[in-house]
Amino acid sequence: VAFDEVPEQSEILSRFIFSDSQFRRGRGEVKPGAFLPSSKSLETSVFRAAGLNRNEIEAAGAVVGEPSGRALKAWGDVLAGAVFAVGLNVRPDNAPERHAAIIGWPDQKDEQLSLAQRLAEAATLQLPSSSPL
Amino acid sequence: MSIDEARKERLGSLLEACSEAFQQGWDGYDALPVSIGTIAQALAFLDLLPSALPAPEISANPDGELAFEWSFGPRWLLTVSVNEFGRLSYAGLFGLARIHGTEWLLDSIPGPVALAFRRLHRAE
Repeated sequence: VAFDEVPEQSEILSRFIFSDSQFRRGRGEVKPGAFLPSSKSLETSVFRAAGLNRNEIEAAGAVVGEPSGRALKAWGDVLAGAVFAVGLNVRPDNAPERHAAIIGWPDQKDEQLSLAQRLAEAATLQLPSSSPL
Repeated sequence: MSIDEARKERLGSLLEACSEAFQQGWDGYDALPVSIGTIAQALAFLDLLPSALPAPEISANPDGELAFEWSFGPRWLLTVSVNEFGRLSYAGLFGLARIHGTEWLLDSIPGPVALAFRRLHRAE
């Protein structure tokens, strides 16, 4: 995979989650809020996990949380194709390595919520190995 | 559960959501903190919710708004997000149907949001 190129439909994008309020552990669901964009950049940061095992993805998520001192609580995996299907796009910047951003978000909050709901529906919740059952 | 107990529970959920999101970057990225004004509007919205409605999950959004969410399984979900000016942004998935829109919080739940609540009941 070339991380400076737009991902294929089948590539997995991982959204690291550092807040318990952004997923439902018991139901194994990612909440829409986890995918909402930053209000500053109107982008959602994601990690391109292709070719990595769970432990390696978890380690990458832990590194992302280090600057803010936050522990990785979970991550949501979504196919790039699901992002394209709702009309959003992926900008591959590879800075830091494997980083990309979901872009193309509308300005209107209700439209953002609707798209985030669809991404959350398409996502699979993953929990760190150290996570309580 | 009595109406008082239900209200107490909802207030507890609101406080929990706010306590996590009082700092910039609470989501591990660059989320905005929840403001006092947003909390005040969320309290007003909470007090207008029909008592028969199941308790929502309350959480902060990266833009500092507070979101009330009712989820009844795959593709049956309603989210109402409140900002500091009383703007209600809502989006729902009801099976194959999708809705979204913007309303303003006045002295009652706006009609389209009330209609979305009624659609939620079908999933209970």
